[in-house]
Amino acid sequence: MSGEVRNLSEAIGFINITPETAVILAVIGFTGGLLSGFMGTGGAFIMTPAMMSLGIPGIMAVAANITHKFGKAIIGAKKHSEMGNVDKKLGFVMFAALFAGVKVAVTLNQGVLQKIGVAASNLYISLMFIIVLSVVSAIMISDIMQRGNRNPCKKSIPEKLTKKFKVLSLPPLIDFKVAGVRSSLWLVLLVGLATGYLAGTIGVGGFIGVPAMIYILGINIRVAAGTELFLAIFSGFQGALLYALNGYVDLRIPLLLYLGSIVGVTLGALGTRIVKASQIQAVMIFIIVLVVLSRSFTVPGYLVQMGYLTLSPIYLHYFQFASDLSLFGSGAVGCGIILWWILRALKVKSGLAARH
Amino acid sequence: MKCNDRTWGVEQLLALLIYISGTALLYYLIFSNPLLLRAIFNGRGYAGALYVLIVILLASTLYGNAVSILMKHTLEKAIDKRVIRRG
Repeated sequence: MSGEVRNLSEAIGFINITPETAVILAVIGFTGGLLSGFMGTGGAFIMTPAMMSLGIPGIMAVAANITHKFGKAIIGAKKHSEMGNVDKKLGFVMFAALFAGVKVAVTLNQGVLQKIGVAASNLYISLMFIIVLSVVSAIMISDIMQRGNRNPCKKSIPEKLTKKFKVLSLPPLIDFKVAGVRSSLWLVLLVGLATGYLAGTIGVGGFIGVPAMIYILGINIRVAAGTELFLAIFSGFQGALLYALNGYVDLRIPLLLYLGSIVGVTLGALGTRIVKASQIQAVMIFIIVLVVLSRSFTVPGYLVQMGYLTLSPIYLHYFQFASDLSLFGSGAVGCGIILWWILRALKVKSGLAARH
Repeated sequence: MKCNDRTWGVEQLLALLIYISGTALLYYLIFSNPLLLRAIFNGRGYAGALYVLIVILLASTLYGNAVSILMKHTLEKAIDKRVIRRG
């Protein structure tokens, strides 16, 4: 670690946490935890941008998130494991590639911060969000539309992807019993590398890991979600260690996130037992699209800070407002839908009990 | 404690009390010592990183187990998978 980066992280500094900020961080944690437990994606896709919207620098938001993810993944994976949703063999095979991916990502993040500065680092993280989430949502929308049309002659993007990757299935092939698939070692390592890279870059490994396991390896959504949480224990540990070694982890932030996220992740995992897989996907797409919009609205602000764009402060204010609205709106609506499904399930249960 | 045992007993209540007390003590120690926290934050190196990881592990284990016990005996019990699962 160079002295320059040390100075930069010192300049970013110790964040002033007021009681209001503490409550907001716990609420952000609950939202991320609920969506994470429900979709198995980690929750960082909403928590990292939300922390950045609170004024926490991007690299510290990613560091806080990945540190928090380490502990939360242990709880989430345990819960999914109890429900038979974790393929540990698959998780261990992906493990080596995942470590390499996280290491590359953390080095790149530090490089951008060191060479170009905080605004560029925030812009890099936001652009990664926009690219990754756009691709994932396009694939998922195509999948759902194809299922709706039911035209046997026309293949959806995910089906085409699955077919293409099956052709590329180089030996050795490995049987994963819990996941119920036989897959090439190279494909599994590729998915692990991509998951690790994104976990280290934006704290969002599950957003590529879960769809990749579904569409490339052919695993069902529940086992993909559970296995990704199991894998997040390792990527979280490594990411937390690397960021903490360089002084980017403000311990209070992950602790405040935990207050909400552990309740959320437990509730979310319960929610998966009472809804269809297509309902999980629908909520996921809705939130991803709004998060993409939210991050897109922040780009002009970072370009202004870097001196590449000139904009009146009032327009910057509007962009920031639109970003916050779409981000917090997506979290609120997504959580609202999941909680409503859980409450409705409880009502059905009590109704049935009353009839008997 | 048995994993699928969803009835409240002395053992469960005691475990819940221990986890909640442990969580409260940990959070109090961290948030009431800003100077120590600042020293760790600025200190970096393996000692600081190790401290961060240990606190995170402790917090997630203590608080996670407390929430898990509470949920197991309340919401999870209420949601009967066989009756309402439609997927």
